[in-house]
Amino acid sequence: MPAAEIRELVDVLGAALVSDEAFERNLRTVLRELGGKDARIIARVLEPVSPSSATMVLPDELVHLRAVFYDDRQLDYLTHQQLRAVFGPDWRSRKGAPIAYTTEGESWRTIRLVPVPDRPSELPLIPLWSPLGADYPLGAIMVLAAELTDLPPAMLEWLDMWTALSVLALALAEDSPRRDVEMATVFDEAARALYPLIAPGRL
Amino acid sequence: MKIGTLVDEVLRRTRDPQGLGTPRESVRLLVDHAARLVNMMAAARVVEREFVLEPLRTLYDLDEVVHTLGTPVARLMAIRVDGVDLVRGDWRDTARLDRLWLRRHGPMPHTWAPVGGNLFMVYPAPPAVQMMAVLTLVVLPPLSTSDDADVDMPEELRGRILDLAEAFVFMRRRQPTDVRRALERATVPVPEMSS
Repeated sequence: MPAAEIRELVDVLGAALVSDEAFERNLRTVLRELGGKDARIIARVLEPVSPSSATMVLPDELVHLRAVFYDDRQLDYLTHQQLRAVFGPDWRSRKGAPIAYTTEGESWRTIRLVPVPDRPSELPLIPLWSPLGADYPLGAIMVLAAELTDLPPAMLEWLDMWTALSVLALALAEDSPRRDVEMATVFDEAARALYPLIAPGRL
Repeated sequence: MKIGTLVDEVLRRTRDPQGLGTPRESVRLLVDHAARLVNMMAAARVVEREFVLEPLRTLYDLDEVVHTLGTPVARLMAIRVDGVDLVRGDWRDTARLDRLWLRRHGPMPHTWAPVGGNLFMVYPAPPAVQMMAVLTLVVLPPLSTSDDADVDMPEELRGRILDLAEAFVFMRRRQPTDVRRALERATVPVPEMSS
């Protein structure tokens, strides 16, 4: 989905009324929305886990956490209150193989494993041939998360037109001399009507 | 169907047969994209390829399938192992029933599921390398600028392509009522041709 092709569609559909600056800004917003629709999910093994540390911060490019794994197990998300009920008031200091995770502080990006891992992960120093298969690292944390990409991935080429319609919906609704609320609504309606037809089961 | 004929028809429908309000090359681009969208809606261009499952691995990326096809893939339609279609499921249901699903292995996979737009799960993983067939919906390549270029789509989808292209031309001309009328016709769900 090269940005130049989307730009060309925006110019043809919008009769060249969207400035470069408005195009770039609104394209970023639309890509973030695609992240929310799980357009691109990545499976990533995070940095090594040490026995003493139970928290880790997720990288900025991950926009929605879908699953957390430790060893073979998908961890359950539990609130602090649920963790107190399950593990008792000392849940933060319990040690063992993690079976749950929770978030720390105000950000969902900081996750805490419960119990605290009691052994270091076995991440090799060399790249793995099959990190999701035979080489799956023991004692490591893996996440499934929607990814926000700076450059549109080539595999989303079929979303060119949807992306152009969405950019036009945002750009024409902005407070500017080119504002056209009625056409912004039309572009938005078209994008909303088309997405479930071209990407069934993804919402 | 030739793209030039489709362009003529869209210009006629939008009451601009000479292409004075919308240049012909712009209409051609919009028809080209309308055809790509209708291909997505109807799952018209589906190709089958062999794909190798790795031992003990349940998660794969569509990029790995794209690599073997050499053409952009929109989505996975079906997976066959030894001539038998795997059941299409929801990975979240599998995860609810089996918290060890990521590394679960068994003699023969029985379920597959998309995970977001690009990953897919094959469950349980085989214990050793296994061949399977994947049916993928491929993206139509961009057409050349010649009016003689063929739109590689079944004839029965011609009306749907024209409806969508008509809506796009009316968008450019800022005629919301006409856009909505054409879009209403174009977005009636169409049965997937590959099913």
